[in-house]
Amino acid sequence: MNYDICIIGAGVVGSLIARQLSKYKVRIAVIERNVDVSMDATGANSGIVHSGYDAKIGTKKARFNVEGCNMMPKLCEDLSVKCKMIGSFVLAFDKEDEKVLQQLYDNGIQNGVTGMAIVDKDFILEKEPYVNPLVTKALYAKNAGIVSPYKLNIAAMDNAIMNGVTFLRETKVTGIEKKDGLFHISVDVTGDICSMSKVDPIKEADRTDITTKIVINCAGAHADEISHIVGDDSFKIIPRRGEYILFDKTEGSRINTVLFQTPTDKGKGILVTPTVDGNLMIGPDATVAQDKDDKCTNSDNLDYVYKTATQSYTGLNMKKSITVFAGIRATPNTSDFIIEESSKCRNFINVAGIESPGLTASPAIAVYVESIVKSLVEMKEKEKDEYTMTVKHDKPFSEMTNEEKEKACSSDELCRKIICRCETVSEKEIVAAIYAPCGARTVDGVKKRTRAGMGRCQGGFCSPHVMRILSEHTGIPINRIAKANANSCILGRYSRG
Amino acid sequence: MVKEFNLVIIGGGPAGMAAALEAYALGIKDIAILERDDSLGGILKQCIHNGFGLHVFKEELTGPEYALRFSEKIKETDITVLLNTMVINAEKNKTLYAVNPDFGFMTIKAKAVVLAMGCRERSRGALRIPGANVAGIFTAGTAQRFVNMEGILPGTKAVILGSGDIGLIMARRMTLEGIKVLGVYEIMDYPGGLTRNIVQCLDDFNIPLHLSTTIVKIHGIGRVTGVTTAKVDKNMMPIKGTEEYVECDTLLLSVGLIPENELTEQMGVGMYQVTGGAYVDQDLETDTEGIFACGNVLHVHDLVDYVTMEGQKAARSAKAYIEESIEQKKTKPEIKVVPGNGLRYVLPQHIYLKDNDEKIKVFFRSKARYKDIVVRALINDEVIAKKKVIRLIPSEMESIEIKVSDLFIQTDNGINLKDLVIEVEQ
Repeated sequence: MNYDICIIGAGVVGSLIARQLSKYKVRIAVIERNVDVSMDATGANSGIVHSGYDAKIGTKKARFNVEGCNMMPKLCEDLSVKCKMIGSFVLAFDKEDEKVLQQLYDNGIQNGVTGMAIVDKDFILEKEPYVNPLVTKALYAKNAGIVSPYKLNIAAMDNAIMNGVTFLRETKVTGIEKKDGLFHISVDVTGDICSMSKVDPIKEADRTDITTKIVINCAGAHADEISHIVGDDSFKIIPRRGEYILFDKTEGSRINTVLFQTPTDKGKGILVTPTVDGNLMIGPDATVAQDKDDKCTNSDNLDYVYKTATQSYTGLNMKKSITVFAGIRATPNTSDFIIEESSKCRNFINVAGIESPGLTASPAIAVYVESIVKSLVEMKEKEKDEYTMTVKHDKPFSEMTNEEKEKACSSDELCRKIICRCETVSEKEIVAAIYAPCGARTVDGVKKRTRAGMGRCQGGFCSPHVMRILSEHTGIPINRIAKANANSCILGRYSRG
Repeated sequence: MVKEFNLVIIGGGPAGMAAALEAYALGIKDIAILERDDSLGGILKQCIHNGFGLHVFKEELTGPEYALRFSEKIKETDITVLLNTMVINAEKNKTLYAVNPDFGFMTIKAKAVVLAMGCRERSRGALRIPGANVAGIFTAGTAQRFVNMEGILPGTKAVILGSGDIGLIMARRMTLEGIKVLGVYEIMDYPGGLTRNIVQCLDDFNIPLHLSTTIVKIHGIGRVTGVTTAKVDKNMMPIKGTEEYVECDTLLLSVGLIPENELTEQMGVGMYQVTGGAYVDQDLETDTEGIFACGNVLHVHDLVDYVTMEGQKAARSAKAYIEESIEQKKTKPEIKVVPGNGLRYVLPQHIYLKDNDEKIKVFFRSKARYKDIVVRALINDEVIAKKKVIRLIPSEMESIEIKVSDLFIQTDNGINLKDLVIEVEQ
């Protein structure tokens, strides 16, 4: 299939770029090795909208962080994704820490951050009663918040697909050759879930003989390998693992802002934050991962996360933890984001090394990449009625008022079947997640879109029901229904009889 | 749609069914059971092994048979059974909000409520077992549902963490289905399940039980490929150097049950930390009037027979409440019941001194294992009841009977209130 633009990687950056370019009259494909969007760095992310005081002045990180932070609320509104600008504190516990606060403040001013103030203990404890009372001062950033990274990622891809973008899942780039100014991309098929699905099955023709004029490399931790294929070894990605502990919603109600410790050379320290869905989360640590796909958690690291979090927040109740997880950050050896056309290969754009504050920066990165692409090829905008930049979602059942629930139930039978008890998710929402433009094909895919299985029982009750619904609608046999990728089928063979 | 009932029972498992039938037998009109599944029976439906009913029916039944004894009787009554019904919210004034396919969104008002929602299984995340985030990890009850109700097996080679009863039952069940069960690993130095299950489900099938051993890491890409086990020290911390790798494609967790009390807490009912259930008096009434609790939502039981009896008791109390014959108890002297030496919890946690002739069974569980001991009830430094117990273990619930008349005597007719302590005699 001939495309104009191929984007490699369907994390939040790749998906927002796809959406941004989908308003033009160009054929776009997003090639993703996993079964779904948001399976790597985006999927295990702190979900913080950083205000932008800590990125080094003059860097791409600083620029796109501040721009992205300002864009995030409107973007989320357009995509029906929850974003709460709840503000953040960097907490200081001694004079040394306080010096760091001042440096961050000064840095923030230079970066163009607004709404910052250095505040005293009373202010902090009034807003956050469970902060360690030994706190002395804090840098308060009003213009900071939280967003669900995977919800943003999914909505961006939904939007891109609505505008005609082809999403090639379970498709791994193995080679890129340039002939007569055209890229020929060879791929491996990594799984059969999306071809088995009778809802929007992958058409084999779409991933056979792929050619494209432009390649945008958004391959996260693997971006250096993709760049290497076209002969550009100008950067390396050093994968760094971060581990998190997530707590029950009962715990999320006691915290109102994002709590940082003073940053170290390893990163922004262990943060304590509510999530947009009302849980409490702590993490991440930062350890160099030997393998770019090693997302194992380790007891020593989890202990470190917990102990370090208790230094800033006294309200943690480990009995209320509901899950732990790890993510890999794509840390570049260049210390800044790499967003440019490769100097070694025309029309090959690297968007690499997008570590923190990558999620915050992603809306601004998408707009910037749009300008790079426009400088390389001519693109005509579609007519106004040929595309949309908004995605509408029905309100989740759990967030409706009693009157709204009553109305929803009276008009739709599927609303009346609650599948996930912990998170009050109806069958209607699960079915909608399957039929969405970027639809769920797996149990984790349903979980990220609907929250079914995200609650305190972690799918103990609802997973058999979710699997049945997935199987019924996609036609994938129940024993081939997977948790995540095709190698993660949940069940084995049928028993006798 | 607004529906009104005298008695609403949340949950149609063994506790809820027993409560409904007892309430009906006592002449309560307008009873409703709200059940989230598509039939009554609760977890019994997937417990196809035998061993149920020895106390209540004096015979050995399978789980579905035991459930059928109740659900068939319920069919003969005019008890309203609302299936596929999820209660999504509840208020202190006994207004419940629920949805089901037949009636959509319902507002349900009750004079009295019996909580019988049962429990859920502790998950991997709650234990924070480190390692890969992969498929092939099941709570024992979820695996049981797949095998016994959906007819699909979880894998081919399994390891079981925790020796709770469901895990033990599943060790045998999976073996019978041709799955190789490599071993059961228990962090404590004693098994978590009933002795009879250790014998009938592990010993009889040569499945090894590794005590003082836990899983320190889960391995795999996509699906479990193995686990690393390690011995633990007295503080239950893994001992370095004792790690062993066990290759498997399935991990079952049988590491504890958690009473499912989210609705209870929404109603503002006071909780008892140790059991994870409501704080109740001798009538199984919570601190919120007219709301009663029974079965595994109140405290996790080891035998369904006791769940049934507790459900019946809750129904008797609910009847008394509806007939306005017990609420004056709150004006009576109140004694706290507390676990003393060797015990983990007691139930009820408080007693109203309302009837001199009343006898109260106080249930308890121990913290450790004991042999040939005496458990006693102590108030005002006086022993008012004693019971010889040949074997007391945390996994098996015990009880001791108290005469309220003794409590009257020891408190000068309720004037000098003291705590009633239940303890292992030293």
